[in-house]
Amino acid sequence: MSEKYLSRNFGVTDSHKIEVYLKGNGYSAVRNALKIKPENIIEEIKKAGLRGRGGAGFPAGVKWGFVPKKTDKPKYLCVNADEGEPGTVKDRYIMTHNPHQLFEGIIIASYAVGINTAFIYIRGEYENIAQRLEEALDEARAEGFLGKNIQGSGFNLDVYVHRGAGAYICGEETALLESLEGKRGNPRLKPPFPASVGLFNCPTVINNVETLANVPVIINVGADAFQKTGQKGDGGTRIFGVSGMVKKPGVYELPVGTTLRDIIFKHAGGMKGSRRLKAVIPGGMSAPVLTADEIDVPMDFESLMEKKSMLGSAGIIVIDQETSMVDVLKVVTKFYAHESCGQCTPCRIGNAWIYRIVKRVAAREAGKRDLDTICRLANNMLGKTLCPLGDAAAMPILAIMKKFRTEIESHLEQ
Amino acid sequence: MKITINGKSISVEGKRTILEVARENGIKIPSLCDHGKLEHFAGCRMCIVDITGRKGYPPSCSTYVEDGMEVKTNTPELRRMRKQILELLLSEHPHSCLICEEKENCDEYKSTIRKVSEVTGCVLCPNNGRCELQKVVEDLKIDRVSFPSLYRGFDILKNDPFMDRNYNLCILCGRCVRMCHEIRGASVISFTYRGSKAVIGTSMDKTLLESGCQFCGACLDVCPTGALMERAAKYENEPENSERTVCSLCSMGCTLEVSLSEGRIYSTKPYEEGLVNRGQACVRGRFLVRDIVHAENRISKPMIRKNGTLEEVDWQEALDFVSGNLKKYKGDSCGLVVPSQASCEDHYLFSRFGQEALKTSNIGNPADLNLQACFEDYIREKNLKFDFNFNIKDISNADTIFILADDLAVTHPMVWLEVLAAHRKGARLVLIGSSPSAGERFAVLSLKPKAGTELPLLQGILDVVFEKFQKQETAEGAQKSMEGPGLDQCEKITTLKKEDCLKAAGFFNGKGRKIFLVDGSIPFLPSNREILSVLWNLSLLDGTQMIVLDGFTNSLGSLLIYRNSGTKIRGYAAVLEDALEGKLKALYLSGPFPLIPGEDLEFLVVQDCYHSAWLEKADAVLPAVTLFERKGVLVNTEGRAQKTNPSAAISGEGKPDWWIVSQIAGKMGAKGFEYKSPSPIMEELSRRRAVFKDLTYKNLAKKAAFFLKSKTGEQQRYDPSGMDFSTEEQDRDFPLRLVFQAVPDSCRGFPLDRISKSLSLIRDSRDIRLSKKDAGKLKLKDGEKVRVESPAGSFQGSLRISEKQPAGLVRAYLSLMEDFDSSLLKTFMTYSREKASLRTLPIRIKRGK
Ligand SMILES: Cc1cc2nc3c(=O)[nH]c(=O)nc-3n(C[C@H](O)[C@H](O)[C@H](O)COP(=O)(O)O)c2cc1C
Ligand code: SF4
Ligand code: SF4
Ligand code: SF4
Ligand code: SF4
Ligand code: FES
Repeated sequence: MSEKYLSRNFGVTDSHKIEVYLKGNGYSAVRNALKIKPENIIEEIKKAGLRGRGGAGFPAGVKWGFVPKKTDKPKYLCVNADEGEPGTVKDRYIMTHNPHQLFEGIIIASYAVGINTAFIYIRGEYENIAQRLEEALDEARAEGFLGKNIQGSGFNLDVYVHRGAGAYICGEETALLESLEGKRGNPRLKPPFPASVGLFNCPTVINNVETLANVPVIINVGADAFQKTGQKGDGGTRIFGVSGMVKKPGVYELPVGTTLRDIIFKHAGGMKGSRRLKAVIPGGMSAPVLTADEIDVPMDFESLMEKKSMLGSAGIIVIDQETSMVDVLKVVTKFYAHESCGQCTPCRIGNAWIYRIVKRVAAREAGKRDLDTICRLANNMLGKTLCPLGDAAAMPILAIMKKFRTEIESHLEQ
Repeated sequence: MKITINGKSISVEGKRTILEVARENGIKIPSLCDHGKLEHFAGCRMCIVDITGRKGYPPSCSTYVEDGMEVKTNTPELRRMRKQILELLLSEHPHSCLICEEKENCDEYKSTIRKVSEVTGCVLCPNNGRCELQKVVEDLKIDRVSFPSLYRGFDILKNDPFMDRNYNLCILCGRCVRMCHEIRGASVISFTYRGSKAVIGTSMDKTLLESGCQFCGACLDVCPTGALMERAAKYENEPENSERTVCSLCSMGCTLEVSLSEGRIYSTKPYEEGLVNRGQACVRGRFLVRDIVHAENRISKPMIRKNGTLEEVDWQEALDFVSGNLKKYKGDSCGLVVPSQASCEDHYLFSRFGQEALKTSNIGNPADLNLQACFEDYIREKNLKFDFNFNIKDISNADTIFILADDLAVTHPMVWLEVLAAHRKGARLVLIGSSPSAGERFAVLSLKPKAGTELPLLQGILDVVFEKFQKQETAEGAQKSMEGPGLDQCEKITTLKKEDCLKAAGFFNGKGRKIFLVDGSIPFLPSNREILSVLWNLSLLDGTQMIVLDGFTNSLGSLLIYRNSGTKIRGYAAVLEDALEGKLKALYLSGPFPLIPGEDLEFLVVQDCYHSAWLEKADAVLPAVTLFERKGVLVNTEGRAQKTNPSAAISGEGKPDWWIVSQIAGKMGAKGFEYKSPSPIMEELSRRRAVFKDLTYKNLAKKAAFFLKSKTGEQQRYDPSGMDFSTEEQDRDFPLRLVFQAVPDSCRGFPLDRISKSLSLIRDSRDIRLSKKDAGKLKLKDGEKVRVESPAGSFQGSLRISEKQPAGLVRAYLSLMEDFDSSLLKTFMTYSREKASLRTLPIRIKRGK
C-alpha cells in the first residue's frame, strides 16, 4: 500500500483543527527539527530528492541552499498558494484539510534558511480557505508554534496570509513578489534570482504549498524512506488531480513514478461509461498533451520530459474521443491570450492572434494556412519571452497542432 | 574578459550588456524598449540574439556579457524571428504607410494636412520622421505584414494640459512608465489591464492632472512612437534647426534644446548631455518657453506718456526722455528694482547704474528676500567658513538626506531628481517641515511639527546631537548647548512624539555621507536666521553637508554682485518700505514689485517683458527681452556658471537689460558704459569682483564646467549664541498665519499661469491656499472668494483647499497683491526687514469680498 504523506487525514472530521492534528502526532516534526542544525535540515531535504511541486520541479533543498547565509537584510519565505494552473486543485485540498502540515513545513523551512517572516500568497478566489488559514494560524500561535521563541527554541516566525486578485501570472514566482509588494504582478527579469534579490529586494525563498507540506514528512520518515517512495532524485508522492471523463475524478496521492495509465484506469476508475480515451494533459494545462498510446509513462519529471511533456503541477486532464481537440485548443488559447501579462510582444500579441485564429478555425472560417500561422506564432514565442508563460503557452499549443493536426484539418473540411 | 560577436573577438571591461558592447563596436541590433537611462525591460524582444550554449534567444539589451561568450546577432534565423515579432507589433499599429511601396515619394503626393486626431498612417502622424518604429521597420526591411491591421480603437486622450495621448500608436515598450517611476519618482502612469487588452494608463483611468502628474514631459521624450505628443507642437511644421541654451526659469540651469520653425520656437527639450539636467526638465523648461517668448502680452516697443497716455516712440526718444527725467532726482529719493531673472552682466550694470548714474543706495534685488541672502549675512557677520558651491551630482551619492523644504520637485526639480536617484541607491530621506511634502512616500522619517515650530524641533534635535558629541569627544571650545527647549518641551511645542525627534537625531549622528537641503519655501518662525544658525551648528557637529538652495534664476550670482560692490545697498525690503512711506520720488522698476498706490511717485520707469498693471502708472516703458533671446551668464544654485544663447529671434523691438541701462547711464553722464556686447562686461566683472575671477566668455567656452569660488570667512566654531528663540503668542482674533511665497513659475516675476492656461490648471498663482482641516472648521469651499484680514489690513482672493497645507497656515503668492491694502503690506515688509526674512502675519479668513 502506498504512503499517504499528505492526504492521510483528508476527510477526517475537523482535520484542519489543531487539536485533531496534534492528536495525530502533529507538530512533532517541528519539535524535532528545531533541535537539528539548520544546515543539516537543508542536507536532509536535498538527500530526500524533494522537487518543487509548483511546476518547474526545482530541488527544494538546492533552492534553500542558494540563499546567502550572511546578510544584513531580512530574508523571506513566500508560499505559492496561487494555484492558477488549470486542472490543478491539490493545494486547495492541502490547505483545506491539512493546513497545519503546511505550517510545519513553513516553520521548518524558515528555521533552516534563517527566515523570520513568511507570506502565504493565496489565490483570490480561495476566500474561504484564506479564512481557514487565518484561523489555523491563530491556533498555531496560541500553541506556541508561531510567534516569538517557538517551543522555547529561541526561533521567531511570523506568517501572513495575502490574497491575490485573480491573475494567473501572479503564480509565476517573480510576478508573485511584485504583487506581494503591492505592485502590478508583472514578472521580473532574471537574474537576479529571488534567492539573492527577492521580496523587497531581500533574499527570498518561494515554494509551492505541496512542496512545503512534504518537509515535515521528510523530518518524520527520514530522507531515505521519502526518497525511496518515489524515484531517484525525485522522491515522495504527488497529489494527482484527475479531471475529465473518468469514473472517479478527484485527488489521488500516489508515489512519484506511478504510471499515467494506472492513475487513470486503476485509481480514477477508468473512462466513464462508453467513453474512450483520446488524449491526456498530464501536468496542468501548460503541459503538452499526450496521446492515448503514450500513457504508460511513469509520472515523474524525467520520464515526462523524455516524452516532451512535463509533470508540472500533476493536474491530469483526461480527454475522451467525443471531445473535439479544436475545443480543447480554443480553451487553451483563450486562457493564455487572457492571462498574458502584456510585457513581451510575442506573448501579448502572439497569443491574442492565436486565439483570434483558433476562433475562426472553430467556426470553420479558416484554411490550412491558418494552422501554419498558429504554429509559426507559437514557435515565435518559444524561448523568446521574459517569463515561462510564453513557453507554457506555446508548448501545449504546438503539441496539439502536431499530434492532432489531422483531426483539426478534418474539422475544417466538414 | 573576451567575447566574440559574429565571430569578431572583442575585449570588454566591467558589467556591460551585449547590446551596449555591440553598439560600441558598430554592430547594429534593432531595439525598441531599451533606453540607456532606464532599467532593463526586455519586453519588445527586437534585440534577441543567439548565444552558444544558451537555451532560447535571450534579449541582448538585458543580458550581460560573460567571459568567453559567443554571440550571434544577425543569423537568418534571428532576422526571420525579429521580422515576425515586428510584424506582430505592426499588426496593432496603423501600418499602411510603414509598408507602402510609395513611401519614398509620399511627400510629393501627400494630399492632406496632418491636423487629424485619429492617426491611421504615418502621413497623418505628428511624429512622422522622428519615430523609432519607422526606423526599425526600415532597418528590418519589412514590406508586408501577414496580419490584418487591427485598430485598437482607444479614445484619444486630450483632456490634460500640454499633452495628448493616443494609445492606438503605443507599442507598450514601457519606457514612459519606467521614466515616470524610476527617474521622476512620480509613478503617474502604469500598465493597466492585461493580455491583449494591456494599455498604458493611470490609476482608475483618471486624467494625468488628477493623478499627480508634474507635466515634466519626460515620458513624452522617451516615447519611441507618436503615442505621446506635445499638443502645442503637434500640428506645427517640422523644426528647421535647433539651438542649445540654458533655461532661465529657475535656479537649476538646465540645458535645453530649442527647436525653431519660421523664427518661432517650435518646442524645447532637455538636452541629453546637459551638465545639470542630463536629459530632464520640468514643466517650465519643457512646455512654457514657447509661450514665454511668444506671449501676446509682451511689451514690444518703447513707450512714453504724452498727455496722459502711453505712446509708442523710437528708442532714442525713449532713452532721452528717461535719462533726462532721472537726472532730476538725487540719491535715495530714487529707487531701483532689478529683475529676478537677469544675467550677471545685467546685474553688474544695474549695480553700476544705480550707484554711478542714479547715485542711490535704494537698490532692491528680489533675491534679498531669499533664504540664501539671509545665510550670506549670517556667515559674513560671524565670519564663518562656508562654501556655497556644491555639485548636484554629490546629492545622488549621499547616504542620508535631510530635507527642510516644501516641494523640491516644484522649486528645485533637478535637485529633487538627484535626491530620488540617491533614494534608489538606498539613501535614507528624512523630511522635516510642517507641510506634507510630495516626497513623503520616499522618506524613512517624516517629521511634521505644528506649523511654525520647526525651530524648537531643530533645537531639540541639536541638543541631543550635541550631548552625544560631547560624550564622544569632550569637545574643546564647544560651549554648553544653547538654551534649547529640551525634548519634553519640544514634544509639547511641536506636537511630535519624542521618539521621532530622537530618531531624527539618531540619523544626524549616523554614519555615511549626510546632506541637509534647505530652501526658502517654509515660513520659519521666528525667522530664517535662527533656523540657519541651528542648521549650521548641527552640520558642524556631525559633519553633515549643509546646502542652502537658491531662490530663483541667478539669484546667487546677483547676490554676490550687489553684496560685493563696496558701497552700501539698502536692499529690496527697504525700497519697498520707502515706496510705501512715500519717500521715493522716482522709481526704476525692472523687477517684480507689489502694486502699491505710489501716489507720491513723480517719475516711474518700467523696464520689463510683459504688460502688467504697473504700466498704467508708468511714465516710460522700455521693452526688455527674455534670457531666451540673448546671451548672458547665469550662476545656478550650485555656483555653476553657464551661458545662455539667443535661441529665438528677438520679438518686437525689445533690448537686453544691460544694453538699456548702459545707454541710459551714458546719457546721464556716467562714464564707462560704452558696451556693444555682453562679453566685455563679463570681463570687467571678473576683474572687479573676486568671486567672479576668471569668469569670462573665453574661459566659459574652454572649460567643461565652471564654478564660482565663493570664498568666505575662517571661523568654524560651534556657536549657537545670539539668537532670538522667543515664540509668539497666538492671537485669538487672528488665529491663522499668512505667509507670502515667491511664485514658483514666473518670468521676471510675471506669473506664468497668466500666460499659459495649461499651467494655471496645475498651479494657480492667484490662489490663497488653506488646509483641509481649517477649511472644514470655517466651512469654506474650494474656489470660494474670500477676504483675508489681519490687524494691519486685508485683501481678497479665491480659495484653494489643499491636503498639502499644514493646518494653521495660509499661503499666498507675492504676485497676488494686485488688490491689497497697502498698510498690510507695510506691516508685512517692515516685519520682514527687521528679521531679514519673510515673516508670517496673524490673519483670519472670511467668506466674500
Ligand atoms: C505562468 C506561471 C504560473 C505559475 N503559477 C504557479 C502557481 O499557481 N502555483 C505554484 O506553486 N507555482 C506556480 N508557478 C511556478 C512558480 O513560478 C515557481 O516555480 C514555484 O512557485 C516554485 O515553487 P516550488 O519550487 O516549490 O515548485 C507558475 C509559473 C508560471 C511561469
Ligand atoms: S511571457 Fe507573457 S506573461 Fe511572461 S512576461 Fe512576457 S508577456 Fe508577461
Ligand atoms: S509628464 Fe512626467 S510626471 Fe507626468 S506622466 Fe509623464 S513622466 Fe510622469
Ligand atoms: S506610450 Fe510610448 S513610451 Fe509609453 S509604452 Fe507606449 S510607445 Fe512606449
Ligand atoms: S525651470 Fe528650472 S528645472 Fe525647469 S527646465 Fe528650467 S532650469 Fe530646469
Ligand atoms: S530592446 Fe531588448 S527586448 Fe526590447
